[in-house]
Amino acid sequence: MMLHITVMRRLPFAVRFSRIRRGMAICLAIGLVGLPMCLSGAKVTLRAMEASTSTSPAQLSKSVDGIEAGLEGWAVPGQTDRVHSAVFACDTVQPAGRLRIWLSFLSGHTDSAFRAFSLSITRDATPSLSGRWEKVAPTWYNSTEGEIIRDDGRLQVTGVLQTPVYLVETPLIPPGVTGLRLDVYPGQGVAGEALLTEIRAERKEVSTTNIALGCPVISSHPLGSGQRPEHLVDGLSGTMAHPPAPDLGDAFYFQLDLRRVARLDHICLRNRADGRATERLSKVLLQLYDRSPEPGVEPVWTALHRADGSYPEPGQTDVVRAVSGKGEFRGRYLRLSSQSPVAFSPQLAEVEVYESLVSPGVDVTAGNDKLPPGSSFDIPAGAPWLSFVINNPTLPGNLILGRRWRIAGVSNEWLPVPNSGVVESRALPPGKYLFQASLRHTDLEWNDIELSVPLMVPLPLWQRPLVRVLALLLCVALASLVAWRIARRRMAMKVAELEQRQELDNERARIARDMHDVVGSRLTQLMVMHEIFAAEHPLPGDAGQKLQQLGDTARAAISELDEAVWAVNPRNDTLPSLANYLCHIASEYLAPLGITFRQDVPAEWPEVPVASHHRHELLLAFKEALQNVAKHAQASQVTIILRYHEPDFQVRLEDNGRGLPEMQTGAGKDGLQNMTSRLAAIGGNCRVQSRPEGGTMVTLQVPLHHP
Amino acid sequence: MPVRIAMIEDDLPFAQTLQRYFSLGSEVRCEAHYTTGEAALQQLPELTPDLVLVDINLPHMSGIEFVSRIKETTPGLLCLMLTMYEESPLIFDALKAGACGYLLKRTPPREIVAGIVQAQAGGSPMSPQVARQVVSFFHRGTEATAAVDPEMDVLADREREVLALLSKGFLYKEIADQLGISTHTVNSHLRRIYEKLHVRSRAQAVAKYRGLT
Repeated sequence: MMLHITVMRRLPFAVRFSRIRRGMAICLAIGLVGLPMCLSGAKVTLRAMEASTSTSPAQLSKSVDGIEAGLEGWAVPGQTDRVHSAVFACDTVQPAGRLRIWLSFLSGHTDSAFRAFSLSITRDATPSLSGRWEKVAPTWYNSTEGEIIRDDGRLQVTGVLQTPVYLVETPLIPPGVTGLRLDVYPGQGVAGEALLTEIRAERKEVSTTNIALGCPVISSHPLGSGQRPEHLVDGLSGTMAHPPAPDLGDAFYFQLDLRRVARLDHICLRNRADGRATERLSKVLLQLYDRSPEPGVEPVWTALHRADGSYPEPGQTDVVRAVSGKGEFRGRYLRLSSQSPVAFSPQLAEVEVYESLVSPGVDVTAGNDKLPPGSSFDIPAGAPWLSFVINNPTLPGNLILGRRWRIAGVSNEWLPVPNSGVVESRALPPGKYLFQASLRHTDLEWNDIELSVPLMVPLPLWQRPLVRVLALLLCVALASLVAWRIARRRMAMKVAELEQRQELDNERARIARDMHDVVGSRLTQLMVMHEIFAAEHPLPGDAGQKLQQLGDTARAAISELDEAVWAVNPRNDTLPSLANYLCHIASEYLAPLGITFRQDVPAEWPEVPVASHHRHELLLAFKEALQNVAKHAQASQVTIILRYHEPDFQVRLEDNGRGLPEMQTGAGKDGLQNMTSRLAAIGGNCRVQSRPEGGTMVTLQVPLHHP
Repeated sequence: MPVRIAMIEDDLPFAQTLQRYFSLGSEVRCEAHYTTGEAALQQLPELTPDLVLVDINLPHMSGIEFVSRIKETTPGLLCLMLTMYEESPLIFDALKAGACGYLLKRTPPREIVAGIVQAQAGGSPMSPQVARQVVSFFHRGTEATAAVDPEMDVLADREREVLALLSKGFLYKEIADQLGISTHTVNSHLRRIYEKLHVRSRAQAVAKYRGLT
């Protein structure tokens, strides 16, 4: 740009045409304004359709046969008072672009070239003379001979013309062109006929995001000589326009028609580059309208640019953005006027309008997985790296814009995007991010609005609450399992302990037995010794009796010891053993008292187990019953009757004594109560009845539960 | 003429005391005392006592095993068991092994002497509990041992009657009165019952050995 400006500044002021020619040369050298990328042209194959002259179709088609020189082509009579036209169809419908057209007049005859002509385009399916045509105002033109000037869309050629070739370039033409028409104007004093030996066309892709380029422009007042409103959008920094009079003030305006309502990013205002009257670009009022700005229509956006009266350097471009004005930065019509007191304001070399452009989207690949497209992305946890493809908006001429990107939250620094559009990032820590990408317009200005795509990087599995809860549950389950195993082990240990206790029981029984053996045999020995003493040393009456008591006490002690050992010995935990023992102690108890003891006992018993404390309680109750009989019944005979009717064990003591009444009073009553409570403790009961034949019957009944 | 006895008792103080008591009177003369069944087995055949008092609970060889061994070599020797306990399984095992009765150690010594004398005289002490066991024993498995002597394998009617009365607690005299026989005859019956018990249990043991039962 600086180079451009410097060069322009050095240019001397010359006639406008030559300046244009010079400007063209400079443009060819450094590129067109606002077109940083110049692409090569594509040939447009033309087909001759028809002409208003009498030229035969065969002759007319000679003008598109690829042979530049010769005596054949489209002949237009020199002496005519009407406009003659020829129609050429493009072989394909043309995309948007500039058309470059070469017109060759190489018949060899002097002055056989068009002196005044214009170019029109059509979008008709079949181009014809009667079709709808639109005249285009060439922005570029040149001739190998003479000079071309433009006059209201017409090009006029002056000077000596022998074998000239004209080069005409149109401004940006929207897509859809199907044909061209050449109009040749009369009255230029050509003696013979003009012969167009060849017409050749080429389309130049337009590589700009400037939507104002080539758009229709009008001015509120007719402009001065040599100026046209289109100069503002012709892409040439060398052309410019200003009000025709110094005192029009803000009554004068230029008005661009962008052809559609566009949401804008920025507007560029270029000052003239030759350094003359650069102060005329100041206090520029910019107004955007959605509808044609007739009286009463309010602008949607308004800005006063350089309100302070300052003005840009020669050739400098001012960028006006949304923030500079009020309202919504959009519209179809852009009206430019000036509030500057400087005469001939506003003076503009170029007006460029840039539509807001945002990348249509981004493709995200996490690791090797391409994520489904969307307006936001959930990055799988643990993706080692991320790859983004920043899509380019579809633009005329397959223009690829410069792009930059960043991930807000990671770095606020913008990073360049290669032309492939692919950028990569290392894995992101869990969190929320905003992937951002913005586009660079062809004037190297970055678009204000950027693409913003939220990225969600979830917590890794093991950090998520649900997973943690699950993990916790798993832990609990595991702990429970372990606890269960431990409990089982404990149970096993307990069983072992119980077995050990059984051992212990056996051991206790053994100890009791050993004690019985030792103590018992000493007591037995004592008893025998007492007998020996009594025999060897006869004592008188009283002393002898007391010695006898000593022996009896020893015997009683042995008997009680015997009973204790019987009670603790687990081997006696059976019904047969219990039955035998009851008979034994009854016999032992009653025999010394001289009471006849009868037994009604089955010879065989089922091997029913009897818990030791049941055994013990029953034994005590039984002895109580025996004592009652012995002390109170005054019986001479006692019969024991033992029966087992599952599950009850029944012990009956029948005597032939005095009967019941005595049993229910005094000590006998206490004994009965003792028996009852003892048996109740083991689920049994006790009954005392009178026998019809006299005497009493005591029944002890205990259920023996099978374990 | 005193009854010549030997005693097998590992409780030395008791044995000595009892021996001293025997020496006070003339009915019983204890000629030998052994502390183990093994020693007794070796020396008893030469001593040939009338009767031997055997403690059931002996170290090593039990009193029951001793009885069954000595009965093989000296069938006529009377064995009276001495026991601390009224523990019928052991007592009954001893009787089956060939003992002709038992005495509790806590029995007053003069009754022990009386028991020895009675045994020598052909008496056979038997408690009602033991009587019931004998009945039960012969009631069970009558089919098992039709071996040595059929007559020895079953109880005679009179024997059964004696046992029935005995098991109900009747005294020998009462039994004799009831059955119209002498107490001597009652004793004979019981002695024979003891023999049958011994024979039968031996036959059973042999049969068991041969795998017949």
